[in-house]
Amino acid sequence: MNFDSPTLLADLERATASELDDAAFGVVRMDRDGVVLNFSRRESQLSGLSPQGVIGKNFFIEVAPCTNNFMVAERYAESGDLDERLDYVFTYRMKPRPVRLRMLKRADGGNQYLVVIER
Amino acid sequence: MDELRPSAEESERLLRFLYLCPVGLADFGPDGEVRMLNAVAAQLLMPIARRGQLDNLFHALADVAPDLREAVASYSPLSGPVVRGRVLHVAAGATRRHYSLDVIRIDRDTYMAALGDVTEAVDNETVAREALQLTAVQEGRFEVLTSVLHDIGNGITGIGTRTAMLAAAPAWEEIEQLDRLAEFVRKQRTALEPALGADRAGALVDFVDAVTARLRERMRHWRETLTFFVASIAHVQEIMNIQRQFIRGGEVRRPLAVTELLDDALALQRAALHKRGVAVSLDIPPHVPRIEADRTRMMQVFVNVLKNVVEAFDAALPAGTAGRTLQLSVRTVADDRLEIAFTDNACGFAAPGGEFPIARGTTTKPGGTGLGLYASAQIVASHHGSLTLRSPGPGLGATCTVTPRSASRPSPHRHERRIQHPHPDRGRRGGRARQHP
Repeated sequence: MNFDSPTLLADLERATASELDDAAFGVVRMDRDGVVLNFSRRESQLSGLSPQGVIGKNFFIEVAPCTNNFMVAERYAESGDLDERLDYVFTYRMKPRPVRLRMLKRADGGNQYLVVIER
Repeated sequence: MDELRPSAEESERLLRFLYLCPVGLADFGPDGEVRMLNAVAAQLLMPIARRGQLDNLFHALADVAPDLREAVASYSPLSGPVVRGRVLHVAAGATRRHYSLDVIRIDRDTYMAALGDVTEAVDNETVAREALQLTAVQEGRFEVLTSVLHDIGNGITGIGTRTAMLAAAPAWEEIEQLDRLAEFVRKQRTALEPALGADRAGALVDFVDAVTARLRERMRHWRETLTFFVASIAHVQEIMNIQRQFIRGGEVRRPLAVTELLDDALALQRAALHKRGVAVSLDIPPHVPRIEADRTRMMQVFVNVLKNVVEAFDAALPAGTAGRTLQLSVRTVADDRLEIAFTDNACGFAAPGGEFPIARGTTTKPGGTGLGLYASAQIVASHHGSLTLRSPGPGLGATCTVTPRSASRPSPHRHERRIQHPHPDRGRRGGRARQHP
């Protein structure tokens, strides 16, 4: 899987949990309410949070409140397809870490994805 | 020593605690370099950070706190508060938000910033402040308006009093004197003719008669004009009374003796009542409780009620003035309420259920404005009472009832003390159920 691939959303939808763990970038798979379904190994390493500690929680509120604003969380709340890149700063282990996000979802349903790569 | 090191689980719990802390926290150096940052700090700062970077707090806050670098640099103590409770106004996307910012110095090279989103609190404060300002402006307007109404009212009252005095003045004495002169000249015409000549003596009589007739015409005009002035001034006063009801400022409510109020109101209307041959009787028990009221306003009510009685007698059929009566009665109808009734046997009126519908502009009098009774009812209502006007029918008289709230203590004044006779020749007398001619 490639961060900039035009088929990334389809690739992620097909990927198993272990395939997500193999990705070179962090992947968070969420349902339409923002509840974490998968938290990839790379994302766990970057954040210092274990998958079992975050799965089942609301990503924007209980896992990464830094994304709970109009730039990230509210983009997922809007209707329509979503495939946008955004330079952002995560606070992995309390350190400001510049990252590039790719926010993905389909208008007609299915899970939504946040893909994270370090800048 | 290893047991003092936090386990992986403890580290994650601490990390989660800092991630989820509802306040944004940033640890930074003297040059603004951010060393540690929690999630809420990133959440708040990212929408305003230049270049999408949070590596330097001074850069991130440059648009909303450009003086932060200077504040940090000029803070000389090695520890303590650098910035306290400062509110930053932030454009976040299409909305405007407000952040609180506190900065403390931890040691020589370490500072900590705490950020919070206080948008709701600031918005609530703004609404409350605007409401207070609006209230202050409104009160200021009321104060000015009250003052203006007071000053105009004083002027109008003075004009009204002088006009009423002129209107009530007896017929011009000069006319009677000229009449006597004309009569004298006519009687002495025979004696005057040898001295003046017959033509001149006749001309003198004609001249005096002509002057007298002209003066009578001018007096009639004068009285018509005064009557117009009196009505116009009364109209202006009624309008001002209504305006005063909407502006309570300046009103002084205190316990008042009803007997004194009725006494003074009767004194103001006694000439009008006497002129129409109205016999006034009083039915007032001893120890009437005082009423809690503004004296000026309640006087307006009682005077207006008496003026209505006078006008009702003017509108009655011209069957002479014999038997015209007005009875004023006062009684306690509840622990905290008096009933003051003005019952006349004047023209009365027809109304559904016998009660006159008091409303602005509603009147039974030709040329009436419908303001006087309405204003009076408004005044009484503002004193937690009521004013009603009832009649059994046309020609059967009417009763106006005012029910003000009484003050807690009974009046120490004896009820007879100041009730004045409406007859101008009989001076002061008083007493319960006494008849006045």
